[in-house]
Amino acid sequence: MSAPVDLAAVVRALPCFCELAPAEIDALAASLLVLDHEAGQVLIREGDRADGVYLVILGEVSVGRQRGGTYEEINRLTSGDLFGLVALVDDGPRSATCQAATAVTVGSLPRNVFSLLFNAHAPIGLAFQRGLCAQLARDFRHLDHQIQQALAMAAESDSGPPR
Amino acid sequence: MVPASQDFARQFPQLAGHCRDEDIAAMLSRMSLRRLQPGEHLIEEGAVSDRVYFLLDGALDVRLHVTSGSKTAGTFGPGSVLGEVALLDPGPATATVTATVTATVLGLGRAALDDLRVDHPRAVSSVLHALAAVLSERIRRASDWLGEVRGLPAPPPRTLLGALRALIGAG
Repeated sequence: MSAPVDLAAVVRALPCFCELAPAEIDALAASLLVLDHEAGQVLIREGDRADGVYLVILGEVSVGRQRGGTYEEINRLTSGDLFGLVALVDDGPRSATCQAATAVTVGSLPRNVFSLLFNAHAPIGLAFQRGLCAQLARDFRHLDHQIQQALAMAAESDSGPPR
Repeated sequence: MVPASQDFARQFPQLAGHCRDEDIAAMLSRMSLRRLQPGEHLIEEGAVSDRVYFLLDGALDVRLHVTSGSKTAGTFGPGSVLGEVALLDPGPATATVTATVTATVLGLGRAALDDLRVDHPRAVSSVLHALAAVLSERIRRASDWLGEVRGLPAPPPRTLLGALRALIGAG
């Protein structure tokens, strides 16, 4: 076990929650279930049903997909990043696999708390929705960047000598 | 002309979610209408923007620039939402969006969305809800596209619904 984390401080440091009242931050921190995981441990498996969203508190989480027997990394998340959002927003299966890239401490917000926050229009709900949207937008930007790189590489290998 | 609340709500039901008529009217009053001629750019990749656009009529082509030219990411019709990434994570636009025919859009800026927060939280919540759904779908598609470009095999469908979708080519 790592040293106990001041959860309220972690939540308050997230850009989306900085405007919330202390009582709201405490409520949010109290609803997080915090767990430590060893490097390599799978936290979310692509295709599974979604049970909650997660917050990286310490360490790094790798986001990727298992294809043809190999794990292809798409993104690397660090402290303050949220993950596991897509499947809860659209109620579909998990869109990617997330695993601990280092030893990590992760907070999880169960599906029912997520739904409460996602569907509320009180300030705490709006702050959560804003933070969630900002994370999704960053995730999309990252994917977009990877696609551009992959397209550029594909174009290079098309024009070069056959390998 | 800016559409009436009911017409807008009908075209973008996902935006009307938790809204009352007055919330939608407030949203519309802070949006700006823009008409595009064929070939005109709505958004240029790399340019800094903080507006999301709702396509009322016409069609928009979305292209990514790559070293070898540009690649289409699809053509979008009425009822589509574009530019949401720049609104939610202000920075350079991720793609170039061009009208393929005459098109009309309604734009909503970040400042306008902030203004709505106090008096019309339902409107803001509905917009964020709708944008989260749009982004989730785009992330799924972009992940698949990335896999294709990297030359990886497609994922096997894990559910009956997934298998059906694969068969009918949807989703």
